Amino acid sequence: MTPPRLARWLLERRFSGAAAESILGDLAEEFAQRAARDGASSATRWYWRQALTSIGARSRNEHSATRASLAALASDFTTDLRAAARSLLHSPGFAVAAILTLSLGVGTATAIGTAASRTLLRPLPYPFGAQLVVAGHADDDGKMGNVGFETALDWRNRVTSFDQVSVMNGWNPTLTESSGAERLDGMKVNWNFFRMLGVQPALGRDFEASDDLPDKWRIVMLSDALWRRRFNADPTIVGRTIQFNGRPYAVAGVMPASFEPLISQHFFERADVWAPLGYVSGGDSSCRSCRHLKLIARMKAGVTFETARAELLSVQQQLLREHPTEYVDRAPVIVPLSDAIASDLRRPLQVLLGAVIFVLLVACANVAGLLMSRASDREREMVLRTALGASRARLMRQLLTEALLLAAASAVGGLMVARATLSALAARAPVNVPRLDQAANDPWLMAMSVGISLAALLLFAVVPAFSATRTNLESSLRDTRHSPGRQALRLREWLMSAEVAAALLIVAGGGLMYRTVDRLLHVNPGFTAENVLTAGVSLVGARWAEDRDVYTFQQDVLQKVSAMPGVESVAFAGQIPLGGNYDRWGFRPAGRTYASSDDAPSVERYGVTPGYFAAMGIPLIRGRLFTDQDTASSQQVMLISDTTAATVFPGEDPIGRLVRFGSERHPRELTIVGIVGSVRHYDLGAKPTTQFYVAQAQITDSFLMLVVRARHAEQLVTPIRQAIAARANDAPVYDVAMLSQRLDKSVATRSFLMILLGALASITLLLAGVGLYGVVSQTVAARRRELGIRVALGASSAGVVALLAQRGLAIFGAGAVVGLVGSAAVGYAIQSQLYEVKPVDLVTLGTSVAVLACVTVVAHFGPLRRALETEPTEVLRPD
Amino acid sequence: MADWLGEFEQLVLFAVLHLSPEAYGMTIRQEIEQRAGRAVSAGAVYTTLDRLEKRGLLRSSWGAATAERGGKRKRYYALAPSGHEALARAWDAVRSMARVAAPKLERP
Repeated sequence: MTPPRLARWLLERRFSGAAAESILGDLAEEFAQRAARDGASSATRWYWRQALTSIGARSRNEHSATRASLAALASDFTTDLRAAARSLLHSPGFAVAAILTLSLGVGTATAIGTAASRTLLRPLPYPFGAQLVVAGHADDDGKMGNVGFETALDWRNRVTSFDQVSVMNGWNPTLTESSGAERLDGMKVNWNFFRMLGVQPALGRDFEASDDLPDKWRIVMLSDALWRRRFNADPTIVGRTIQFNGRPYAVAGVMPASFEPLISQHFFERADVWAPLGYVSGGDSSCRSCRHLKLIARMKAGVTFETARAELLSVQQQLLREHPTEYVDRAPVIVPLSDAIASDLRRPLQVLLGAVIFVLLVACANVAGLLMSRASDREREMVLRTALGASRARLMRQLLTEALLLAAASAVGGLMVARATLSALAARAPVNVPRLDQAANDPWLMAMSVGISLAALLLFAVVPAFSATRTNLESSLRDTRHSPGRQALRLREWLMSAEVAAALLIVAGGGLMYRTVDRLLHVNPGFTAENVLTAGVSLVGARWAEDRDVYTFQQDVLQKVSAMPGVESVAFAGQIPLGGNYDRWGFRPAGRTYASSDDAPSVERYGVTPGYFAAMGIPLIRGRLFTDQDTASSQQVMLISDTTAATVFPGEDPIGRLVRFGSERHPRELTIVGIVGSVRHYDLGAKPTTQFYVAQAQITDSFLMLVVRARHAEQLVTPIRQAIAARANDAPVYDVAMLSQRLDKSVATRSFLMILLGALASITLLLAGVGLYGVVSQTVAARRRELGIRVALGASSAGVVALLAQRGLAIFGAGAVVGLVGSAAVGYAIQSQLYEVKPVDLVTLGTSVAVLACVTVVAHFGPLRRALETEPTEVLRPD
Repeated sequence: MADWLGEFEQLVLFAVLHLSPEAYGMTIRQEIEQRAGRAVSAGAVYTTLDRLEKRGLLRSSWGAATAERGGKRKRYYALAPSGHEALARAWDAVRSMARVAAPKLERP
């Protein structure tokens, strides 16, 4: 048992020679006694108390400045702190304004900063996350597309920079256990998928190469969540078989709860189940030019991204030479996986990050202004104290202590604002930001709040403290009418110009987003979304192998649902607009030849029942719609959208034309019988695409969306679920949403950005308004005597107003000019988010300037009134 | 002037007088804590002892080092004749002042 080493070290630093020997000896001896009697921790506490007080005692006795003791410092600090608290309590208005302002700035900055760092900076949570890349052929618009299996094999074998390559596809099996049918989100992957990431199952075994074969792949890996939810976390699940789509699958293992399925979440749906792909070279699904697989590769350790990219490009060049008809000459796209996954939110967050920095700067400028004005108010106090013998260092220390106290309060306030902002963010964010809702307890968040508050206040407190203590005793005491420092006022005016500029930036950014969302919401999606309920149903498994059975199911369900109260029309469709499905087919009008299958137009295929157009509110333009007379045995018919008519048959009459689609060898051939209105398939902001429609009676889908138009459609969810369960208990109902919700979701990212920028703009406007008010008030106060004299000499009210408004106009003008230039930059920064609004939008800029001008004018009202009410007799009377 | 004693100095001198010849830092500190009911730091005791020794009121001598003291020696203190005299004078002063005032000092 020995005394705490650090405490002993402190004592050794303070005492030397004989003193150290006897003191340390005494303390060690008593420590041993106490440790034996009261226990070690009590003795340790005692030793520390002794050490700290002894150091203090020693220094106080020595009166040594160089050995200023910790204890003395601490006691001085306590005194300072008390004085600071008293002084702040004396001017509660100032304290509240400063703390609120800084809390708002610090809180929003911290929240957005945390969200941004979690999304933008966070590495992928896999051991090999940094080495992962995603690669694919380039689409027509240059974006990354998918690859065919044969291409993937060649890339795996030839690109030596790649250590591992795994291809994958989305997979939506239906769990058909007796406990209830459920459609799951999952992924088919190459057997090495988890090894490539560097993760291992928590239970059971990983996939093996022998699982990834055409007749061996019915084996699954479960997510921890699915395992707990559907199998009660049963540890004996491994090796058992469970039913998917009515077929037995062996359970290989369960992934750990900590495994985040970011890849599936980004490219498909957040996966709960994984199975091997089961493709082999030359197999049924293996092809070269097709593009239905997502490819992720792990670069060898030490290989740079650029090297891998260059090698992939040259390998693809070889492949193009070997298979000239299969590929188009376009460089493949490859990006680090972390970039691909962060890309959804990257730009909006960067913009927000920029915006909050400006909000923070505005807040700091305001607080600096407040501190400066307070400093000039207290100039006489400082002078008096200096005259009474206070040293400049002493005064500065007290001012800095006040700043410290404000910073502490602001840090607490900022933390509260940050937490509120984060939970609002987590609730509204259009894309799932991992663990954002838990970020409120992040120690980094707190550290950031405290750090930013401290830095801001100390930075902005030092200048006022410096100027406040640099007082000229003699002149200040003689001139009792000494007006507040002109220099400080000038500085504040500059700060205000900067605030106006910053506010203009944010207001203009918010305005652009508002205009974008407004435009988007006025886009005609091609259908009427009100009162339409949509729900997914899938019919998979041996029981549904025959199209006839699926079609009979459809008819039965349609009949039951159409009898429900308020139902106007009801239909099944293979996919719906904004439904997240991308079912595109090569579309080959008879009589035309295409050099390669890639050259034929690619058109979205909708398989629908006759009621679809009424249910969706899609208008018939020419010809006819599907009817019940279109059956499996009647003429095979199709409808096309007017965009398809215009792009595929420009200047021709498409009605009556034959169109082939499907495989080259056994194409389906259908006759166009009608033209309907176009719909926006991907999202409202995307360019209109082309569609064709086929009848479910003729080409039956087993993954279906039920579309119901009814007066109170949202109340039909339960009856519809019951009707479907009664008809087929293995048909899961999923993805239930009103069509209008899907519309909202498609503008979600933009409205998210709009709402946040709007909120930030409001905060900035408020802060700028308060700041301006403060500056104008100070100006009026500073010039009160002058104004009084002017009024006494007969100056008119208008003259006084003009005099003061001049300064305000100068502040505003300088800020507005800088802000306008900056706004253009903001516009270009968020260009990708804009829709039918130019980055430099005169309406937005004009409105923003007008809003700020209003704030400036309002901020002038109070101080101007006070200036006009100035009584000459009052200001000219001596103290 | 030089032989006027502060209150704490008096307490220290009383402790040394009472504890002698076993008066060293630890025992002196414990004596003051226990009898006077005052929490005292080792540093304060040592500083005072040091000052009193420099004023010639105390004498000190090194004792033996022991393991429980971390190999550090004890420093024993004893009153020098002038220290004895100074303490007696201080005590006399207090006593004669107290004699007349004591009745009024009774606690309410």
